[in-house]
Amino acid sequence: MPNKDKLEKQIKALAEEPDKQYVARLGVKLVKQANQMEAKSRALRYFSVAAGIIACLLLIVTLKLNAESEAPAAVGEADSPSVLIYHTHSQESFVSETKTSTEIHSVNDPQHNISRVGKRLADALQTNKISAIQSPIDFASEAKNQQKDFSELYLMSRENVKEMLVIHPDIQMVLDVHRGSRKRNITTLKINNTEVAKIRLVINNSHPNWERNLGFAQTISKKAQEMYPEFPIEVIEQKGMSPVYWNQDLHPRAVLVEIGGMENTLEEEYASADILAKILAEVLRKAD
Amino acid sequence: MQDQARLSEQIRCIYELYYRDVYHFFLLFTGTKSQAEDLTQEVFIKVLKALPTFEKRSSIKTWVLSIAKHTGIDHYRRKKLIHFSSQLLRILPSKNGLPEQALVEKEERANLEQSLYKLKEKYRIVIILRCVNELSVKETAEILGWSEAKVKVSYHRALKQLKNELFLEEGESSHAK
Repeated sequence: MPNKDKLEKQIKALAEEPDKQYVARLGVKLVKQANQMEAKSRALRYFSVAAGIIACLLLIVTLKLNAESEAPAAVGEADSPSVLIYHTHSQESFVSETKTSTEIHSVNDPQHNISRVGKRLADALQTNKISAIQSPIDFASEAKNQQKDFSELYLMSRENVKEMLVIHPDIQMVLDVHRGSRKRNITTLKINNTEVAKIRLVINNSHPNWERNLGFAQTISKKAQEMYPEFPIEVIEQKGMSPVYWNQDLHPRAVLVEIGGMENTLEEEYASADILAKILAEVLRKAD
Repeated sequence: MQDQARLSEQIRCIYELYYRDVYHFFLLFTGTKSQAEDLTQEVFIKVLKALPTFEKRSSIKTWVLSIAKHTGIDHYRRKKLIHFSSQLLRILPSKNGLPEQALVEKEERANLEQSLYKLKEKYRIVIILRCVNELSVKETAEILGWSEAKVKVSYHRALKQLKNELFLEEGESSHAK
């Protein structure tokens, strides 16, 4: 209905931009108020810390009086995630999963797709004691619902990444995990006679701070070389469209991770995800 | 506790991300700039106060906009009368010193605004969320507490009714000439 689209556009045009001075003033006001709230809660915290110390001292004294006692187990589980995993091209899939022919240029599937590999990577990181979070949003299906073009996927994932960074301020790595599109003989490696999917890190070199992201990718690649010489991780630079830069401008340690190609099997993808998790865990530990 | 120390940083980011959405929501909901400004401020102060207890499972965007929706509906119930008269003031087009084309456009705009305010509250909200805030059906459903099917049907009906209103409105203004 072209008529409807026209009407929607007219409605949208009614939404005039807010006054810039107003926006700035309100921003300042909010930050001020937040600072006040912080100061209050800090005071409260000092008070509770002091109370805690006194309680601890009393406890120690009591324990000593009671002679030997078991030490309380205080295992600090990491709850705030340090790795964000998402998939801008959320439905990239594999020939073996969709049972389609390799003649088809692109293989996609709403269920059996790259997000499973991302989930595996998150789980494997968890196994390596790194807390990871995978974005739950299926951008491809959202775009379809909103009748948006494929080219807008990065705008959609961008907004989600920004949100995730606000909600989880401890995130230290942002990984946009993709499936590559090269042929099987190029995207497959052998480790101990097992075939696994090859990993590439793609860095967008069109935004001002891209060298930080490149440095991060190279750190991963070096670590891989150290830990698994038979599993090289290649770093490549590419020009990318502004203003999204594949979201790599949003975080100094944001990279695009390409795991295998459409002719790799899920098992091969999983095996690579497991190895990558070990490498990333080491990189993170070193960064601390 | 760690999060607490970053409250100002969090509110700054959330504000930067969504001030336009919230402002646009109110601008179309109330029809006046000053009310949109007041209500936008009210929403972000609510957001700030609720932030330490915010459930991190839901999306911030739908959370912020559902606060906006509640605030808007409350406000509207409180100030129905004042609201109506100030709208009229804004909508009366001034015809001085405008070239013909701009005049027509301005009139079209005013007609559209007028028609929008004639819609039922829930229709107006669904149009704003879908069309101006460009939310998905799923997000809109979350904010309104409706099913996705209800969002689709209501949006469709709202646009249809808006078109009818617009038709009547245009009829009236051409008579007036």
